[in-house]
Amino acid sequence: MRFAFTEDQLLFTSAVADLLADKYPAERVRAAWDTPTEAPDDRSVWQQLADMGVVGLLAPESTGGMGLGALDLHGLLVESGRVAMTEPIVETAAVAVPVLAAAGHSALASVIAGEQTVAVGFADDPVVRVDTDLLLLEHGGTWYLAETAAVTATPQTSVDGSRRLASIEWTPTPGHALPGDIAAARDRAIVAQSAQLVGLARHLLDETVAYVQVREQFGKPVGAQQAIKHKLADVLLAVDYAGPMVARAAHSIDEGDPDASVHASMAKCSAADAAKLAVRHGLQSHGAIAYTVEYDLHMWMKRVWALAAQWGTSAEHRDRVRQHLGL
Amino acid sequence: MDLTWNADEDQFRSEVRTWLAENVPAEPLPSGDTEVGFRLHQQWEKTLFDSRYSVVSWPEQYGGRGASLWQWLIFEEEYYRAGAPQRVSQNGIFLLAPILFEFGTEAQKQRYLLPMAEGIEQWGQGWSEPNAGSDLAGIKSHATKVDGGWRVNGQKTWTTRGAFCTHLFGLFRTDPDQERHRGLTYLMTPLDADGVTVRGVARLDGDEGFAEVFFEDAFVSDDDVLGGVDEGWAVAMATTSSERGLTLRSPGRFVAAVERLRGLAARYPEAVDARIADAITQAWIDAQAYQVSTLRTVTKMLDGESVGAESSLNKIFWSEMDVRIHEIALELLGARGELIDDSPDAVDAGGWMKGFQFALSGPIYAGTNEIQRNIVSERVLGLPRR
Repeated sequence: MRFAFTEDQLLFTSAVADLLADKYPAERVRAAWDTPTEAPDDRSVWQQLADMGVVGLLAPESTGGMGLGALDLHGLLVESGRVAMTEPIVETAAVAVPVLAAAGHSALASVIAGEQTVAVGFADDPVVRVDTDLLLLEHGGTWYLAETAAVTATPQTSVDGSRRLASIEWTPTPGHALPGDIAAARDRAIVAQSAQLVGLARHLLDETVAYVQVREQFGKPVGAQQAIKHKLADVLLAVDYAGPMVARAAHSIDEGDPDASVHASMAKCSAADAAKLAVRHGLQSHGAIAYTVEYDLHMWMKRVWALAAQWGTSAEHRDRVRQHLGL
Repeated sequence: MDLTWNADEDQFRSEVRTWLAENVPAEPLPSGDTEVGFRLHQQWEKTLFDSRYSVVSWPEQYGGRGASLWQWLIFEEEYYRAGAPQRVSQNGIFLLAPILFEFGTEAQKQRYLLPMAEGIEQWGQGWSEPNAGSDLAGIKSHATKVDGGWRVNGQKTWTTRGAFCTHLFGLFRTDPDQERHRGLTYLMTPLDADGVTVRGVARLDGDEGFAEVFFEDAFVSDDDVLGGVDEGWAVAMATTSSERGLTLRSPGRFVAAVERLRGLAARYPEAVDARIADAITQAWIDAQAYQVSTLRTVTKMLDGESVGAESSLNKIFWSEMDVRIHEIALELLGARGELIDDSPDAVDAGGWMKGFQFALSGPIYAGTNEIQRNIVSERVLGLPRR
């Protein structure tokens, strides 16, 4: 029994954290807000992540990947959430790459190389991201890979202005079908999304803690007020207990644990609830300054609102756990 | 990450499970917070001791098995899973013993550990006073140096099972010129000494589980000073962090409580609406989160990392989870929930209401959860004290 990340996992995470600290300032997220209709043309960060092996991390070494698992990806996804990364790392690295690899699809090489990105749409998703080159779409229990440009997309505007979403009309053709385990891919998506939510929550907490130490009212930092302290302690409590649940779910996926889906659902509601609490108390502790789009925090808040409901809300995932318990 | 148990650990679990199945009393014992129940629980402690299950993690010379922290967790899981009796020795074996191991002299360890493991000597805590609760550094009870020891005066209160205990450990002011956490000393004393008076106090649930302890010129020997004179605060902090942290509330306890709650739901399906089913599910998830988080904490401890102020997070989490588990049960029981003791229609002998009242003490004792949130925000998040 040992519940800890390996030296390699920690080193890889810290290398990605260093890259993002350098290349992913809030201005980059803001820039994605400012060009709402176009795909980001600056692919330099994505290219560097691909060069480091992040994008192909889950693909076997024989296909040019790193042959690693969901737990190895976990820390990197947390870091991507911390900086509110807009690129489709969850969709491409955590979901699509293993599907393409298992199917032996020819697009895998260019995806791993960082030349093409992939978004994912399950049949029950009302909208999908369309800021990628390719779309991995589930229809009737089968995967199909389509070029994004080839589907008819009706743009939809998200509260998170950095997200390019659309409802799509598209007819599956047998030639585009891929074999693959939909349920396993969905579990990977849920757990990866949970990891990003943990990162978003940690950033919201860190920013709020920093702000309440410098913001003074009544002659002292607002962070010296117990009402603020207790709110932020509650956020830490939620985030600190969600993190291990998400890591455990990733580990269960790697081990083929029969309860992996239940662990994924527990991870998602824990992470989403923690992130939503970080938004709520983060905004309240900041006061009016965070109630404006001139201040950066809103981009993290809105990302949480968007992602917390992706691939199942907390209520839906608790319901999956409820069914598992036979209640 | 490796979330599997090794062959030795599986073997240990199986031995514990078998022993508990053969030895746990078929009928629950009366509350250990009453005179009659306490004596029966003390006998149970002796039964545990005779099979070397009372203090599995202690060295063998003191009645333990030298079990690893992992084995201790396994033991606790099995213990609560089996519905075994409450541990009336817990204040001694979980709170004082770690301090004795860390700060005690060889003579103190020889004198106190074995009778504690055997359940013959029972320890109460002497922290709170009428005017010093969460603000522990405000204590007034004092000890004055005399030949060969200390003369103690003052009053301690809320001493758990104090009316049935043989001994007390706690903090006393030994340097009257020092304030707050300076000038305090950690003393151990028998409760039958001259000048010590114990008065039992009924707790919220009516059991005599509390006591007030009065000291009037009571003598405590130099041999019973634990750690250095005037250095009691550091020693006491070591105790309170184990009280808040792992040792007092292992995950097995809450996993078992939620399983009992599921059992209750299965017995009264007509009372389980969608809202209650959702609440039970969340409680189950919380118990899982506590269990997974504990695996992380134990790994950190075995790696030699300090847990420190994070134990305050643990204390908030388990104590509030415990209250919720019992609130859900009472909600499910509806009008039957108020029936206690030997009422013919009481469910589980009113155990859920009793458990609820006990759970309500969790957010209060070992430093209220408000104080824990202050500690977390100041020492983990780094927010200003004032």
